[in-house]
Amino acid sequence: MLKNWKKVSLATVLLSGLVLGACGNGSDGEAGSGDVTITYSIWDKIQQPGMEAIAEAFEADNPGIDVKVEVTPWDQYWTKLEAGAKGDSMPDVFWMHSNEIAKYATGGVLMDLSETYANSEVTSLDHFPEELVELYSADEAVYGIPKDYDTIGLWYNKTLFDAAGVAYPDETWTWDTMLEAAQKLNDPDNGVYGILAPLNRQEGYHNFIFQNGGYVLSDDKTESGFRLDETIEAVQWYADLSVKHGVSPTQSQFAENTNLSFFQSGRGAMGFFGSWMTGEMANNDYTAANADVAPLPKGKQAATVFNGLANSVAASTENEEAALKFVEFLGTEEAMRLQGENGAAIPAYEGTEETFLKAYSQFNMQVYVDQMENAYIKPYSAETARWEDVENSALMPVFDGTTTVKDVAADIVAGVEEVLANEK
Amino acid sequence: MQTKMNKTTALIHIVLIIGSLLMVVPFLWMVLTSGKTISESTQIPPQIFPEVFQIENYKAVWNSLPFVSFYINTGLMIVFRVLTSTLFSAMAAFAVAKLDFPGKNTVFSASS
Amino acid sequence: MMKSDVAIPKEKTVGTVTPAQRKRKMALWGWFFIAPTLIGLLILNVIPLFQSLYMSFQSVSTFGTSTFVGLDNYLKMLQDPEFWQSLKNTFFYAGIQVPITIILSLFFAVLMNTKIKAVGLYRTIFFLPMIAAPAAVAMVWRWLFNSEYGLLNAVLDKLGYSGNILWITDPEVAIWSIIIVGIWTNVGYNMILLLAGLKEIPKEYYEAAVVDGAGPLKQFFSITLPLLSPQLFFVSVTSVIGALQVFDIIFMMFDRTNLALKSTQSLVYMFFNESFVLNDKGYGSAIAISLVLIIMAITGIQLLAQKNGSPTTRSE
Repeated sequence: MLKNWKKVSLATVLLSGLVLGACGNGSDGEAGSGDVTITYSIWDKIQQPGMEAIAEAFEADNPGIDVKVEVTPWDQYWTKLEAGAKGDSMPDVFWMHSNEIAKYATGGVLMDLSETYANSEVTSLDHFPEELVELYSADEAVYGIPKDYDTIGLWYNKTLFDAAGVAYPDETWTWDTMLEAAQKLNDPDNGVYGILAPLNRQEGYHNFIFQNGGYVLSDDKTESGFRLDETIEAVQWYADLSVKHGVSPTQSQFAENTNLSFFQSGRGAMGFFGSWMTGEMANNDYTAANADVAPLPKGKQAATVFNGLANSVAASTENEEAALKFVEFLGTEEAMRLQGENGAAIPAYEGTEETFLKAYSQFNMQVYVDQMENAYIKPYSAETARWEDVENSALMPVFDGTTTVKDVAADIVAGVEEVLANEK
Repeated sequence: MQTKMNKTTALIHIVLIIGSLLMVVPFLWMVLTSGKTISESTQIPPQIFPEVFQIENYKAVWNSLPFVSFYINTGLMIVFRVLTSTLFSAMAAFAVAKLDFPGKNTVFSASS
Repeated sequence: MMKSDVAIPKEKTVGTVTPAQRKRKMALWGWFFIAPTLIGLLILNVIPLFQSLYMSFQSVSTFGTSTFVGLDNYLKMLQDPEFWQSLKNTFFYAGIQVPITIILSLFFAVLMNTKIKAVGLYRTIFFLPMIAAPAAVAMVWRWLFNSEYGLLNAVLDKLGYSGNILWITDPEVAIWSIIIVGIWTNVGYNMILLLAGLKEIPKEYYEAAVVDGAGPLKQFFSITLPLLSPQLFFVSVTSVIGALQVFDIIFMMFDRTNLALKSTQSLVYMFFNESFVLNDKGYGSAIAISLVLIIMAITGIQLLAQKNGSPTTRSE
């Protein structure tokens, strides 16, 4: 009896091992014999339809290649990618971000795409904004092909503006006009705030720093911009919207509800949102009907933070030819147009922006494109997350009103510069 | 004696009912909120029941992620994990409880 | 049936089976049966533990290149105020959540052990919190705790208390919110374990006690508690270990910009933050190893306490 029992249990264990192993390998084989399947990894599900449209167009021209678009939410995207890099199991083609490019480029896990693009018959790097190409290059090698760019806009609630009798924001607005309008629109008794200014960098105070003539990181990436009075002033002004003037929700309130949820429930008359949030605005019934976008207000100058994603190829990819073909296609005018038409993002290819504008014709999208004239690249370095965390932690009490930017500036400078020094 | 029993029983039931409610309220709230529109869910003070239960919310979620393959994956995982872990644990427990072999105590302490 | 198969091999004739050979056979069987679990433990627990230990002595930069730094990470940790704060938070959470959970589980288990109708239904309902995924639980509670849209403050308001409690943004209150969620999640599971233990206590003891004139309270303290001590011990050890590792609810309920995070951040949260967000896996590993040592120490203390303090031991 025991012996039979033992045989059965052994058999079950072995069988499960076999089946599991087979299951693991079998899922790639759906494409059919002879087909190559490459994975294209992205993090924004709002852009997924656009990416799939591009994949389909590519597959139509290249019948032997299947492109599988995978969405991994932002919070897990980088953990997963890094794990893949260490285990040589990265996706073939994937989105790259300015926060992380330095790390991945120096880590040697990205394929150099300069040759592919130099020899390409259908596209070239000249069609993209120079700063973006530079952002994703290192020493002659190009590790990412610009995919899109984004800037920040001032979204406003037309209904609330109409009810308060305030004129809509436009390119003449300055910090002071914005504050004035916010004060008129502020209605705390009904839970409505004039403006939504959370502790946020790319969509928040970094823009104000540049508008005031300051900077976040020095060009050589050794010094923190918090050494400058202009920077300190700008951040304090931004924080004061909540702390001093009460026209923006408190830090605690933002900890519970995002600025987007305030805006979409009609509780914020104005808010700062990047162009990548347009899909959200369009899909939500309330904002689709009541919101529109205007350029950011001017400080000493007009400025916005801009960023751009790129498409990269894993150095360890097993499908080099297919992956390179796809990444080449991603940089063509056709792919860029598809991207814009599907409202995914503002395509980086010069001349194709209009597709994005048309996709969201109900909003004044031209604003995002126009602001590129005064755009500053989103501050980045090899360990962006680390120094951003220093800024974040130090500024939390400022936004809560318990201290001022001036008091914490020295700490920020010390912390940020320590991170930068360690990067060398 | 009879009345005493009933009083105690009733009391016990009341306490258990209160406890059960506490256990269940978050789930109820989750289901109720799943049927509200964004503005209904962000009302002050909170509204308990949605005006109309929004099935669209469920449709939107179902369409946004490949749930079918998620369910299949989870199902497979459950089957194999339950089978193998029950089997292995039973085997190990049997060995430790009924058989005597050198190193048994060390292994038992180490594995706990 | 199985035992006889092992002890008396059929091929040999009586007399040629030496006790030594029988012992050897049993040993082999023993090792075989425990092998899968052991191998699993080795691969999934022991080896990664040693890897973490190894990593804690390194400064790990991206993509694997690491340099040996000896005890630097540990020294850094001991001087890091954030570490001590996380330690304090974790202990506070465990120190409050575990006793309350156990007391409540015991209370409800005793109630469910009585002859009342619908016990099965109550049991199922109490177990529900355990089946929900921690991430989902955290999201729902986050919503319940919302100071403006949440049900909790609305109910409190109805009951007459109109102070708006900032459950998850007030540094003083936040840790209690996590404790509440922790209790809610674990009472059901521990209750089922204790209930199983309660059912094992022979009714005769209680009957004898009633004959001797003991009231329900005396019965509880003289019979129930001592005879339940193995289960109680198990429940308390596992609860403490689990509580010291709290992470999911904190991670899901508190954003990085939440001021209350500092006063709720647990050791595992700090480990995660350092290793995966701030990219210093060496330092993160040091924190993880420290937590392992702490848990081992506390579990060891509990084991000793049980050995020395247990009154009667039940016969198998």
